[in-house]
Amino acid sequence: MGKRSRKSMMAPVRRKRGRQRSRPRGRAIAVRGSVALMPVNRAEEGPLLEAAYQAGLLAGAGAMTEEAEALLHESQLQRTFADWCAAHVKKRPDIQAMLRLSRNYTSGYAKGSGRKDNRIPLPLAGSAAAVVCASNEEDTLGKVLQQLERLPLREVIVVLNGCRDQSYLVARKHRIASLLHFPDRLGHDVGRSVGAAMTSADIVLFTDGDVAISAEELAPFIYKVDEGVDAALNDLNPYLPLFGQQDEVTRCKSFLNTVLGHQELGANSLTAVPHALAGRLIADIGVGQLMVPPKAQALALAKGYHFALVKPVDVITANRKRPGNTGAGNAVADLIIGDHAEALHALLSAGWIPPASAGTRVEVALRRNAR
Amino acid sequence: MQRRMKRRITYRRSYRIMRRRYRQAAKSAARPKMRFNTKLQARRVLRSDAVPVVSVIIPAMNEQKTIAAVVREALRVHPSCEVIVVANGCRDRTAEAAESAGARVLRYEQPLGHDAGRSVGTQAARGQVMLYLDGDMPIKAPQLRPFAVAVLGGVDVALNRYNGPVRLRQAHPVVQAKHALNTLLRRPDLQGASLTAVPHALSRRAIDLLGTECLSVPPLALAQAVVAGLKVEAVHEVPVGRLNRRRAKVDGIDPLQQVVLTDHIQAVDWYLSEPGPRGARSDLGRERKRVRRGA
Repeated sequence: MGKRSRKSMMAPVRRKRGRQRSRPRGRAIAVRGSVALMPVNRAEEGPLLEAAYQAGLLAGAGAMTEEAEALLHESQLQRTFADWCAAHVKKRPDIQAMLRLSRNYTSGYAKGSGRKDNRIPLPLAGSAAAVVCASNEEDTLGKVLQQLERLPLREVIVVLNGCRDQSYLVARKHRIASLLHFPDRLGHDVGRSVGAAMTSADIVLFTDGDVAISAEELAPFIYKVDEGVDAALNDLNPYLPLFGQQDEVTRCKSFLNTVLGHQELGANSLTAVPHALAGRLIADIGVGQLMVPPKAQALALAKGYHFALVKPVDVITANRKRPGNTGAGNAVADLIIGDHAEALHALLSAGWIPPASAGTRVEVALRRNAR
Repeated sequence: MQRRMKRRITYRRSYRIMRRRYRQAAKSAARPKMRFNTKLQARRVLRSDAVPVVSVIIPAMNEQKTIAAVVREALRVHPSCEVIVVANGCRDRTAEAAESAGARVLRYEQPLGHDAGRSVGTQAARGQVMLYLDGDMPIKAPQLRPFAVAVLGGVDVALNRYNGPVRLRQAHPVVQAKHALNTLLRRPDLQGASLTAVPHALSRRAIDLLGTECLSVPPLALAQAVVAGLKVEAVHEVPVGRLNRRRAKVDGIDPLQQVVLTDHIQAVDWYLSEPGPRGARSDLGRERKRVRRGA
């Protein structure tokens, strides 16, 4: 082997290492529409899962009419599962274990009632609602609502704006949906504010009408906020390229979090859907702030609200490509950068000061360069 | 393909040699070399009355080990060149070492603060080109000349094109701040280039327009330069990250990090006070009034 060939081998090896790092570590990537359940503690969990099935079977035998069962949050399935959990599940399990229990209970319930059922009852301490913004999404809106119906939501507020297609008719077919119809476009994320103003639920899940995300992937957001955190964000960090290749918007997102002393959030932001917020957070910062997501995030973080990241849902690859949102320097990028400017401005004009300041220039110079 | 790869490897190897030389230069600077010093002093006397073309400004605080090497390289940047060392808060022989290497030394008993020496040094500078260096980082003259050349060629703010370590998914806070500021200033082409990093050079026009005060807060000066319509360019890359001295840390964080972050926030604050909270960016027709009710 000559000198040159040995050298030329170096580069590919290095590149390979780089690629491995860019893959998410220790997490199974959720495949759209399917449940990526991890086999954790199966041996310990086995009897409980079996018990859940049996309890479901028993409850299903006494199921009410299909009409009375239509909305999950007030159905017997949700109520009996919550009661069963309170009685038999001692420690609050993580969401994946909870989903397994829920699935077993539901399949027992389906067997008992003789009806098909794939809904996901969850024991929640507070009430939950969802806000869906849609404009001209007739193709996907139905699927989105179908998935939301599988969750124990009190209401789903669908903000239709500027729709020229059949979105309204599609949405009206779903009993759970409360429709807000605006003939003209409201603009980016304004629907979130409008929708959130209509609900007083303890947990509000935000999603868009253009990506159908399975209920199994949405449940963790609700569950997380129900646990006590104030905001559950979709953890997109594992999907990001290296900083050198990131776009301006991503860098702005990271910077805003860093400035606020929350580097652990990475580039995650309320700009991305899905995410869930606690009702108290929305009431505190004001629903009007939600339409500029980075501003809402900055104000909430500055007030000390607790943000958590949940298992990633890949909305980047699923996002509909529109003429306005692709390529560098596009109109949407400009908007989002403007949003971050507005967020920083709002912070600074509210008299916010950077956390854990290390002291003045002179003090730092003394500390670093003293002999 | 093969050839390109080979070239890259050669570059890396030559870089290593360069770095070794830097280290040696830094070491040798600690020992006074009389013969060499007298020669440089003689040269300085010759030029002292003429108005120089390039003024090199070097703030230094307790940098006796490296300052002589820095000054010596700085003197080689241009045939007509003055070197101003702002020795502030020094408890060692920094000022003497700089003086015997051929620099004009401004002495201050008390420390002026990080980067504040730049303002003071600039007030004393007479050249057409102001080149800024750090006292702890000897950079060879050929790596410095491109900055002076760019300013002589019409650039007002010639920045180091070094972006910092960006082959990470999450970059260092300071690297993030530099990129974000340039984005907000609508200069994404500058990437992570910043006045915070040395070496960089300013034109006399830039100094006249910006004043010397703002140079103590480098990101603010950069924002003002961009807004004033000065010609700001990243002209040459000197990977200074690797040359930085390792410093004492507080809770695993360099205390300077927070100062630099605060500087950037100050720059953003100043920038947004002028074109409005959104930095004159589009709102894409948000119907904001629709939400008054609940808010």
